Amino acid sequence: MNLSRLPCLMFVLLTLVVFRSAPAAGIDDLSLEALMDMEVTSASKKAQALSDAPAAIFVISRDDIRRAGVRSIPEALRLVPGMHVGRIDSNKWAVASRGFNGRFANKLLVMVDGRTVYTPVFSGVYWESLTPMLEDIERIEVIRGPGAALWGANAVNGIINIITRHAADTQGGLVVFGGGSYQKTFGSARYGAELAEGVYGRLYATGFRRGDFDLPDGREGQDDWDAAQSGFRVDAQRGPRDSLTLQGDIGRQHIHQHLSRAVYAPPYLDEFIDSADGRNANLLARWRHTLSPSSEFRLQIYWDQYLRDEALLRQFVSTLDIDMQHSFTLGRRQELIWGLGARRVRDDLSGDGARATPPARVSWLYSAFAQDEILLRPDHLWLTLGVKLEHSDYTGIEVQPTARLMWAWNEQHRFWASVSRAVRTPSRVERTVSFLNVVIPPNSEFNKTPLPLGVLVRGSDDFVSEELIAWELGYRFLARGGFSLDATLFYNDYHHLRANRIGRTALVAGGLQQQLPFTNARSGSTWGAEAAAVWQGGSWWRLDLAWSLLKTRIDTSAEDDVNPQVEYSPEHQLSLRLALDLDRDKRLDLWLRHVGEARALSAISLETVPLDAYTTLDARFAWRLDEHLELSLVARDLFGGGIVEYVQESFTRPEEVPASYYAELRWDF
Amino acid sequence: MAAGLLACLLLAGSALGERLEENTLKAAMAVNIARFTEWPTLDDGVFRLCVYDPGGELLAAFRDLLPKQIHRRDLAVAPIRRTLELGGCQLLFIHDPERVASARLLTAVEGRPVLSIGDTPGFARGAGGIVNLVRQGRKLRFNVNLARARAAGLRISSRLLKLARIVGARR
Repeated sequence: MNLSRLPCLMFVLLTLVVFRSAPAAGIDDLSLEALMDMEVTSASKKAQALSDAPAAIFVISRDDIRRAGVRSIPEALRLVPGMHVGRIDSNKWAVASRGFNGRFANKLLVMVDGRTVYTPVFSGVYWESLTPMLEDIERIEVIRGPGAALWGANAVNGIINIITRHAADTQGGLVVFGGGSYQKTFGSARYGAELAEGVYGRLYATGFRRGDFDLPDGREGQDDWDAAQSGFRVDAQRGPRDSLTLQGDIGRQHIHQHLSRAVYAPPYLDEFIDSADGRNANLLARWRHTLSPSSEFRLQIYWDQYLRDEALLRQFVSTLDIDMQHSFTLGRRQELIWGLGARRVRDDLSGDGARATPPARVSWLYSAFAQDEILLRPDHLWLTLGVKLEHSDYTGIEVQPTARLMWAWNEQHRFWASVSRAVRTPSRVERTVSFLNVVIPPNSEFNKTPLPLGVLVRGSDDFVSEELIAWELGYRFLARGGFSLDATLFYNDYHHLRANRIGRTALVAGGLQQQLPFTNARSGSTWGAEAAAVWQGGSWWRLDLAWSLLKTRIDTSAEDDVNPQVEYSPEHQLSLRLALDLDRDKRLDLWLRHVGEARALSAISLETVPLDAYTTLDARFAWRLDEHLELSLVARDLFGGGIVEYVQESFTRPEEVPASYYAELRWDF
Repeated sequence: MAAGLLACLLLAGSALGERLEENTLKAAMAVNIARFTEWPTLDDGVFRLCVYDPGGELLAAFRDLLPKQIHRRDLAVAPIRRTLELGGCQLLFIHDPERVASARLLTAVEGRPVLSIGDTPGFARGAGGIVNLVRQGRKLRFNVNLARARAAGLRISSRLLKLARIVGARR
């Protein structure tokens, strides 16, 4: 930077600070005409501390997604304190909150507009098939910890709800396209219109092509991929009391992946490049009806289907879900909400890498919940009591209660506390699927026999739900002058956690087979702290901090528990984001992230792999060329080139996340 | 040197400009609209301005604005989440981009002298509200449903109506 411009910059900064320090003065005295003449700048104030929900909630806004320069959902989730996102390869992520991470992490409930997107096959999410049009997302709401009783199955360590924009808010056209080093090309187009009085609709299409990562030995990962998705949303208002939403999407993914299959012949590992195919479709209808000022009814029905065809496994899963809820007030102090839901899942699993018995299956899940929010002292003290009953074919009825207290001392300081029980019901794999994980060479450290030893991980009829009792404490502070803090402490007590024990040994074609059935042999606890702080120093700069600490302790009751007892999520994480509005048309964002060391399980290497701590930086510069056109340049993982962020449990090799850049042009009309 | 100083001033000027952050502008406009509205009766003491905004950003803007008085009454900004808390509201600002609460809140104040202001498209038409703040390019405009305001017993000054777009049934 030219030094002679420094005094000028100082002057500009000073002017801004001086004018900012008295923002309210004057605005209130402006006439309506003067206000109508003002230009609107986008809403940038956002403080997590403003929320009065008695839970560890964090909201990623539309503006956050845009300014962070991310092009996928898991990358956006890195903004959330206490959420660990590890990139496995070009098309795979490990995402978890409050510990227990892995590609097949299983304790999150993930939804798009109220539609569940985790797969019942392993209770986790194929993040690579979640490719909505990012520009049409209103916000991503993340709740760490067990869901209040309202939320459904699998809401154990967190809930991620991706909420797309109301069709009335996406009127007109939008075209986004760009490309760069890793993001080869990407593009989105959307058009929205008012179809009739009070009926709004939009159509969109989005897609991308991404390059590959490298293996640590320098070989190309050959894991490039592409995806495309298209869909619509219609929102209709029929009188003030009824509103109807109809939406649907179809998508497909072509994924190349570097796979390793266990075989009974030297070198006992067959490495190859797989070309996987994913297809998904869904349709959702939701009706809201206001019965009276104090009572509302909501009915939602959706159908969701996906097909994932890859070497080792071909999955087809079709879900039909119906859900109703009714809220009403009781007296002057209580607000009640109750609901019923039913879900039918039909699946069909085949492939030479896994054996499902039976290969096709239909299962039902029923749920009922009730929650009472009681105003103990208006404006100051709220108590929420809730319970959810859930019936699954595998484990029968599960009871999940919660109690939450919110205390607003004054407008600046708020406290909340909660205790909840949550369960994770068994997945299809944990009950009925077996797969050959690895073949250990003969006469080696882990196999002293002269025959190759195949390790068969096997679902077990005895496997029951994992249980959690969670204790949480929260504090929110809203200072005058633009500083806010949202802090949470938690203690999670787990029982019946999953492990594998030594099962039968058999002689099979090619060698020996050691079965490792799933068992609920473990218990453990995690505790930690999370903090999100925002310092809005002026109308033109803002600093966002996210910090988390996580401690894990795992015990096992089985002597033949074979899994290593390690932490799969880092103890420390820090994210620091600086957002600058350089002038009317130029914005600069810098995002520094530190992720502490952790370990990952890797069946291929027969042990856990250490994951080094790393620090990386993203930068985005956006320039508004005119009212409708914006050009942005994004650089990601600037110090991070060549880091192994995470390693998948089975079937793939570690890969390095490269530094990357892209340019994007955005045009709205 | 002079040119440098000029450039400097221009830069500072462009950074400030005649611009306002969206929430601040919405809050300022809502307060102004209330000043041009007459209520059939007003309680003594405070003017209760209720805000539904679960995100809290608009609420913060109202608080930052710190207007002293409306209709010679001290302004009290009250956050609203439930219909239970609506008692005594003279003005109800609804910021509900997900449309999860508008219907219930508006049904609750229907026909009562409560000035409902919202910022979602269609708020003053099918949704049942009275004043709708709408973005038009980079400026903020507003629509008024006059018939509904009259049904609620509110009188909106002609000076305000000149600046507004009238929507809904005409009389």
